[in-house]
Order: sequence, then C-alpha cells, then structure tokens
Amino acid sequence: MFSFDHQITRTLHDEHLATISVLERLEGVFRKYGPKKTPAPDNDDITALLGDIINLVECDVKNHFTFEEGKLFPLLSAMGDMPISQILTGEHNVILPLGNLLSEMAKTARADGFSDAAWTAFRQSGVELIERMISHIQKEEMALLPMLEDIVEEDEDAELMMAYSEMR
Amino acid sequence: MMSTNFLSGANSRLLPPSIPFRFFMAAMIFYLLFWAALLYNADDITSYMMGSGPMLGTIHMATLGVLTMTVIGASLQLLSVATRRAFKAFWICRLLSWIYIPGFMLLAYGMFSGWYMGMLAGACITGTGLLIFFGLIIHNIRGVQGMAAIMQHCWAAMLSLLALVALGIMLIFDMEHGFMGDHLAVVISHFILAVFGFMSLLAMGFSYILVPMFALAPAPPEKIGRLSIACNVLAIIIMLVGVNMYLPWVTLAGAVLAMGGVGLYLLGMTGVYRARMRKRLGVPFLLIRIGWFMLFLTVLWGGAGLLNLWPDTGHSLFAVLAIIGWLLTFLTGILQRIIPFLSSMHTSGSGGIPMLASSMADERYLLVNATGHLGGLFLVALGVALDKTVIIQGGAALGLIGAGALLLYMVTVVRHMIANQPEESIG
Repeated sequence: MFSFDHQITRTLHDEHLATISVLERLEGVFRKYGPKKTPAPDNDDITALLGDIINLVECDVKNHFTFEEGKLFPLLSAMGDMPISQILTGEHNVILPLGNLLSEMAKTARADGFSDAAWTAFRQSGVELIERMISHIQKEEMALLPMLEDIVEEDEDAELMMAYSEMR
Repeated sequence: MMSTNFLSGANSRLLPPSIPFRFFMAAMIFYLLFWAALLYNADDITSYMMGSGPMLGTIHMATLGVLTMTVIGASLQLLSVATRRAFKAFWICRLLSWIYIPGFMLLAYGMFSGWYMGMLAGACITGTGLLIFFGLIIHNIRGVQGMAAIMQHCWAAMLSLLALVALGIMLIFDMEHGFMGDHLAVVISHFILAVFGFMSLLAMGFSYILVPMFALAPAPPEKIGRLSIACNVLAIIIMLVGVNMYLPWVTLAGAVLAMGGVGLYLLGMTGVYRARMRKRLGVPFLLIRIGWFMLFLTVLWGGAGLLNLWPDTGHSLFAVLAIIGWLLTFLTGILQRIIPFLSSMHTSGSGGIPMLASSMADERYLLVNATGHLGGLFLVALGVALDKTVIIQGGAALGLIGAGALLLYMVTVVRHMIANQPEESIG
C-alpha cells in the first residue's frame, strides 16, 4: 500500500480506505438493486450499510473536511500552493451537503424502510456521492498527502495528530 | 515510488482543453476510419509484407492516426502537470495540430492510393509536425529532477521518434528510387522503432503515472521502472543490429532482453493493480489489463517468430497483436478513463458545481466500445491465424461499431464541456 511516514498522512489515508470500502459496498447494493427494485425493509445487510453511511458522514467526512480546511490547507497556502486547496475546498462544498442529504435519507430508511420514491432519490444521491468522493480521494491521495509528507516536520506532525484526535 | 504529488497544482498547469482534445478527437475519427479501412482491405492483411497500397495506409491509420495522435494529446497535457513545467507557448501546440493532422491525412491518402508524391509530401509535413512535438517534449523534460524512470522512457521514446521519422521518409523515397540494399530490413527497423521504441515506451512510461492515479494505488518502486527501460532500450538497439546485420541470434538475444523489460513492466503494473484502494475499476481497466496481456503475448509471439515457429501468416498476427492487441487496446482503455477525468478537471474551479463525468455522457457507450474493440481484436486475430477473410471482416465490423460508440461518447463529453466552460478557457 501507500507508504506514508507521518502519523497524520497515515490517518487520513486510513480514513480514505474506510470511506472507499463503505462506498464500494454501497455501489454493490446499487448494482444489485436497480432504480426500480426497491429493497425490502427487513434486509439486514442494507440496514447495517445505512448505519455505516450515517457514521461515515457524521464522523469521518465532517471531521476530515473540517480538519483539512482548518489546519492543512493553510499550510499549503503558506507555501504558495493555493490551487489544490481551492479545488479540494470547492469539492468539500459540494460533497458535504450531498453526504448530509444521504445521511438523512439513510436515517429515515432505517426507521421506515424505503418507499419506491425514497429509494430512487437515495440511489440518485448515492451514485453522485460515490463518483464525487472517489474523484476527491484520488486528488487527495495523489496531491495532498504526498505534499504533506514533504512539508510537515516531525513535531508539526505530532501537533496535527493531537489536534485531529481532539476533533474526533 | 515514482509519481508522488502528480496532481498538485494541476489546475494551474492544465492546457486549454481545445489543445489535448483536438488530438483526442482526431484520434477517435481515425480509430473509426482504421476499422473501416481494415474492413475494406480484409483480404490483403495476411499477404501484406511491405510496399505502398491500401494496407500500408490502414496500418498507418492506426499507428500515426490513432496511437501517435493520442500520445501527442496525452503527452502535452500529462507532462506539463507531471514535470510542473506548463507549456506556455500554446500557439506552438496549436501549430503542431495544424501541421500534423492535415499532413497525416495527405500521407494516409498517398499510401492508400499508391500516389508517390502525395506520400512523400505527406511524410515530410507529418515529419515536420513530429519534429515540433519532439522539440516541445524535449524542452519540457530537459533537466527535470526526479521521476527518473519516467523521464528515461520519454527520452528513449523521443530518440526513437527521430529515427523512425528519418527511416519512414527514406522508405518512401526508396519506393520510387530503389537506393536501399535491403528495403525489408529497413521496414522491420522502422516497425521496431515505431511500435516498440516510440509508442510502447511512452505508453509504459506514462503507465507509471496514470495507472496508480486511476487505480488509487501506490506507484511501483523506481528500480523496476529503471531496470525495465534499461532492458527495453538495450533490447531495441540489439534487435536493430541483429536485423540490419543479418544476425538472427543477436535479434533473438534482443527479443529475450525485451521479454525481461516487458516482464519487469508487467510485474510493476501487476503490483500496482493488486495494491489498489479502489476495487471496482470498470470497463477502462478491463481494456488496460487485456492490453497488458496482449503485450505479453506479443513478445512471446515475436520470440516464436525468431525461432522460425511462425505459420505463413505469423508476421501479420504479430502486427495485429502488437498494434491492435497491445497498443490500441491499452490506449483505448486509458482514453476511456482520461477523457472524463480531464473534462471534469476543466469544469472544476469555474465557480459552479463541478460536473460529474458520468453526467456528461452515457457510460454505456464505453461498454459498447470495449465489446466492439475486444470482439474485433479476437476475430481479426482469429481470421489472420486461420487466413479467413470473412472472419477478419466480421472483426473489423465489430471494431467499427465499437469505435463509433467511443466517438459518440467523446463528442457528447466535449459538447457538455464546452457548454459548461467560461468562454476564455475554451481557446
């Protein structure tokens, strides 16, 4: 796998792995259940997946984005690399509301199951979230994390890790 | 690791979309024309060895029309991001397209119709375009620190390009004036330099950036890339010596070294693929993986030829495996992935919500393309092996359908991209 030396880059990378894993499970469900094949409310796998989606958005995505915008992008800006921060922040602004919407739909579905209309809406938002999030992680893995490996010093790494742990 | 922060600051180093996309669009049109020409000339493929005529035009439709055209568009865009040196003189990139594309059209027509002056003029104009490309790339990669293996692939590919252009023009001149002692040996040298020296080395070099990026995987160790390029360059030189000095065992030694170089490349790519974070990579990676397998088959089949194990149609099958099986399949897979990626990058940061690649065009076009291309490859290879024209025609027809689907996909994506761009970034 990727070999990151800093704690903070390893942590962010592990969160990317966890996110991709949930999104691939979601993608698998969308493949199994087409737009016109609403899953039954007593499907345990889907209920568990909905819980993971809620958890992913509430914990990982929100904290991850807030930390990046608050602590990491200023570091990049300070060294003069604004474009990547701007691209990633722009994508956060689209992904987070989409994630929140999906999380809300997942909460409703966990309580009441999916109606045909709710499943269609959930599937539509989910497909969009998968595509946007994968493309976003791609940019972070290929640009943000390697840059952080280059610029973050050891003591700074410990401080960033501490700040992120407190936030989580 | 070979490619680290490849995308860093990428938006500030993206070329205006019209530059790479004009080459991609031209490549897609010639991809369609290639299969149409193969359908038309299906009965010539197994008997063709050298000389002007429709088959020569058909082969160059694939090599110069599709593969080189794609490589030019991709190199201009990728290198400016990878080396962190943006191409600033966009007019030279545009001039390159204005010279290379019409020059190639004249060359292809000249080859197809056996019109000597058309071929010679077309080759000189196309060659001028390729020299401009050579200058642009060398200017960009000279003195780059880091990414040694990738840069070595670029240097070797560019030097092969110079040699293949010179040999290509000389071969056309020889058709009329007959000054060469052994025309066939020069044809084989031109083929080795073009297919393995220029296009394969660039395809392999860019793999070290693109495959990890699209698969979300770590780049292979630098040592594998360096060893692979060293083996491949040495193999090409030894094979050229063997072919031109009539020393079959030297050529075979070169082929064995090429197997080592290709094996190392495939080992590196297999490692990347296995370590990918994203498990479902879709249709483009099916094509890429089949392309890798065909590269492996190509070198094996080439070795069999040098051991005199080929049937009568063995040389044609070798060309089919190398050009359609390895290069066209691999580059079609890369294009399927790079077109939506680049187009979505061009809609990012424009103030609005970035467009989804999947919303720009129906992705089922890509499935039709892959099915048509792979079906076409299988039937053409089978038809050549059995020397059955009707099977080759069936394959070419399938390939034509697949190429049409990719062209439609491309047109739809470009239309969406233009409609969602501020005017100043279209130029």
